[in-house]
Amino acid sequence: MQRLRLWIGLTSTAQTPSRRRAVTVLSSFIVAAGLTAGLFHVLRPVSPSVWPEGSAPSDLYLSAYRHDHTDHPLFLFGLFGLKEKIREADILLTGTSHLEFGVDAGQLSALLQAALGRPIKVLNLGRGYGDGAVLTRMILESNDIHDKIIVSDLYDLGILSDYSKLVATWNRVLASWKVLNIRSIYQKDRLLFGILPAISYTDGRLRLDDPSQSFVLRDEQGLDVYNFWSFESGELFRAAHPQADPLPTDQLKHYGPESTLLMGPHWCREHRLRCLFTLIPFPAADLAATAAWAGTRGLPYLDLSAEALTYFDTPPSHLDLAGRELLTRRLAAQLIPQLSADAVTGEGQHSPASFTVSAFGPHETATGQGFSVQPGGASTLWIALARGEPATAPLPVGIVVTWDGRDLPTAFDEKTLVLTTTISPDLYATPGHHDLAVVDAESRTDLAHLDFLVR
Amino acid sequence: MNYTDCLFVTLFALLVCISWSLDWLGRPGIWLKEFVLIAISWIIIYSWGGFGFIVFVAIVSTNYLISLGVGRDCLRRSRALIALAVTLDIGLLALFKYSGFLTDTITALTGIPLPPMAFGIPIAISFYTLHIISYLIDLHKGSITRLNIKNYIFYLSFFPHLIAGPIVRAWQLSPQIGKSPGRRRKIIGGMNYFIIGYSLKTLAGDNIGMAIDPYWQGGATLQSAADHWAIALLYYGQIYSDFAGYSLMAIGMAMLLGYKFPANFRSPMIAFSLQNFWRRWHITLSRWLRDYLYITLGGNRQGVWQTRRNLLVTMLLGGLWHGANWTFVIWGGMHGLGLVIERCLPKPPPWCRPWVILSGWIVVQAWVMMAWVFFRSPTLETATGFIHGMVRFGGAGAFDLAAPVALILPFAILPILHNTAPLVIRVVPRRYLGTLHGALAGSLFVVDIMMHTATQPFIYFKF
Repeated sequence: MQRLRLWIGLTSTAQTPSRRRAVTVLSSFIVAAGLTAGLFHVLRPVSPSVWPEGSAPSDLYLSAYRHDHTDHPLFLFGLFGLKEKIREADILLTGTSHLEFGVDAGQLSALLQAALGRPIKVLNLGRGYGDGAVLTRMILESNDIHDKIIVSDLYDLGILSDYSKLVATWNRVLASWKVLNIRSIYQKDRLLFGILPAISYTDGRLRLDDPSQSFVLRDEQGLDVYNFWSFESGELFRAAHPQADPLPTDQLKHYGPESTLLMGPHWCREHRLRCLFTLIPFPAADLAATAAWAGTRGLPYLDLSAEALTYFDTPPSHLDLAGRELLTRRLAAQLIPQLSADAVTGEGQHSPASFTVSAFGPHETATGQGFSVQPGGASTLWIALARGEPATAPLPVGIVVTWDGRDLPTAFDEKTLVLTTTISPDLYATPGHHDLAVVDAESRTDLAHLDFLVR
Repeated sequence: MNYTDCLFVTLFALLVCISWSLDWLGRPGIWLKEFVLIAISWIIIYSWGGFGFIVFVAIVSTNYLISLGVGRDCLRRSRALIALAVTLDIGLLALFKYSGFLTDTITALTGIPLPPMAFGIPIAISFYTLHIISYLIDLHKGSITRLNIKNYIFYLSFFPHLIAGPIVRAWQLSPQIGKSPGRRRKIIGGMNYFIIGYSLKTLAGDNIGMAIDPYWQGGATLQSAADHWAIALLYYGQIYSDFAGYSLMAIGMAMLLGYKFPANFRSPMIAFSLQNFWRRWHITLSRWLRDYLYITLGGNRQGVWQTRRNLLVTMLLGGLWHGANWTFVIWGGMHGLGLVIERCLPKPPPWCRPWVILSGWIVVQAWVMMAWVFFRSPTLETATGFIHGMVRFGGAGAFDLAAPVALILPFAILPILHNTAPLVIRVVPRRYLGTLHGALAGSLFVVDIMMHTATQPFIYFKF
């Protein structure tokens, strides 16, 4: 018995005054806690009858609660199996909250599957804080993503938010901890719902609020937004919204697609990714100018019309559920021809990334100096290819090597996967870096790019 | 990972239950409990960065190997090994913490550009270095017995004191390791400490910080001298709430897990002399500095001038220990200078003692607040500008603080109340103290559950 008393911490049986004191402290603790809770229960603002999550499906995860977001650490570190999920996807949608709310990956996947007759997995990697290409690159690199189609929203504040900078300093343990901590705060508030209010000090004001605060839930399948509930406005995303007056396009020029060049053609090629770009429409955006801008920089651009889209916020920038459904159809309509063309050229089965260059030689020469010179005076260069996944994919009908875009006579040994090409002396007569590309002769798709130096 | 995180508090409650259950199993259970606590502590260190974890493991293992040769059996070898270990530990601390500061200073003084050495500061290095040194010296003096590897790692890793103290000496913690907690574990006392510490941190420290941080970061301006003093006072409240709150939480956590830590704060805001202040503020650090630095330098046994020099050097190094910036050196220097001046003052006659205490309290607290300005300011320029604002009388009227700061004053009451609690306790009949304590903790517990503040890391975590 004494051991039990010691165990539960009521000190020792021999010290009756100590035990009595402990009992006094404990009972006054309970009474005071009860009285304080009772007082705040009376003072609390009137709560909705049910927790706003309502009858949401069970396969949802908490994307954001109050001012904390879980998506950034989840995506960046590929936590809780997300890394595998991202790697298994065929198409990754990346961008800011415009894309997060603006496209339904599940719907897009179904539309593409229906049109192309094969399963296509799409994931929505949009996230808040205006983090565009900088974070997208970090996410793709940290999860080691290759051989995918990336559809990237050009809306980009051109920066890495303070939150993302902070997340980037974490490790997997801390990132997992932060995600679970946000979830635990949410659960705590859910438990307190209808019983106690939340006290907060914001904008110089002490507030006594309902514990339920703004949150975003996303589904675990396509990572699509399921709902966005705000304390002030209730359900935002799923509710119908009247169309707000659009702002003149010249008033908001704050989106800066220039930073998207961080994911430009060269980077995409280097990472064996097929990058497509678009702009999720919002009334203040100049869609035509953005399309023209993408054209001048050689970015493959999917033009999405803004017509009849509806938004849930003011000024309008984030699509609501109805707007998302409409826009997803438009995006599918743009993507289907691209993917169909891939199927015809074989790109869908063995994308440009199906081959990698394992070695080539020589890498450089002096100006005007030939190498492995053939009887006709031309030099010879060899390129060894290695198969990517799947290894059983059919070979392209023809492969050609280009020198700064100019086709070179090429021989391809299908057994050894070695290309041999001849280079005439006039090509290495001037010093500089030259782009050697391995190109699918039929579809004219680049399979690999190499740098050849003439010293 | 913050000790005020909702998830941490939830999991800690679970850990306390597991710890009680393991204690119930007797010796093997306690052994297992301490392994679990080591594992959790290591996960916590790792969560702050893999590099910091590797440095921690490397330093701890090296020092353990060195400590095997330290002892009373061969004093000469022992002294040599201690010299080696201290050089190594202080050298690594200097490398990680002060290399950038050193190169910047050399560049500023000589104009010779030196390459930046940005290694980053491994988490908790300042604290575990002090723990390691104290263990070696105490072992050399024979005041403690040698710890086995598991107990040594537990002593250094135990997460409540790991990152920001209190600096628990080996003679304080080692006798408790591997033993049944018995009366050491006081659930109600531990909960009280934890709740009050948590409240100080989240209600006062975090909220004051959110309101006054813009003034230190140049995002807001102050007009009158009164405003400057108010911000300095609020910072005093913030750092007290933050650090004393953390210390109370650490003591409470240790108590709930069956260990006893020394007190780290004892109402410093009522100190009437600087000597008295340092017996109340960061007590474990000031005792460490006294025992291992001040006394090693000669203490007060080598004459008046040497005593003054020793005081000044100790406080300057104490300031530098906090961070690699001249602002910390000046903060330490101000305290050292104040202590030297105090020693020069004549002892007051008994009849005027109340007046001396009152005037001493005003002067000392004002001096401490001015020193905090250097402690908080990011640069010397900010600090001198702020001090100039404090002593510049006039300006655009008194107390022209922005609304958020004015509104934060209710939170600032908390640290003041906590500091004056001992004075209140004296007048409350002893039989009501338990009720008062329990009622206060119960009310704060409910408010803590309801309070939503963006979690701020503990200020001392970065030291």
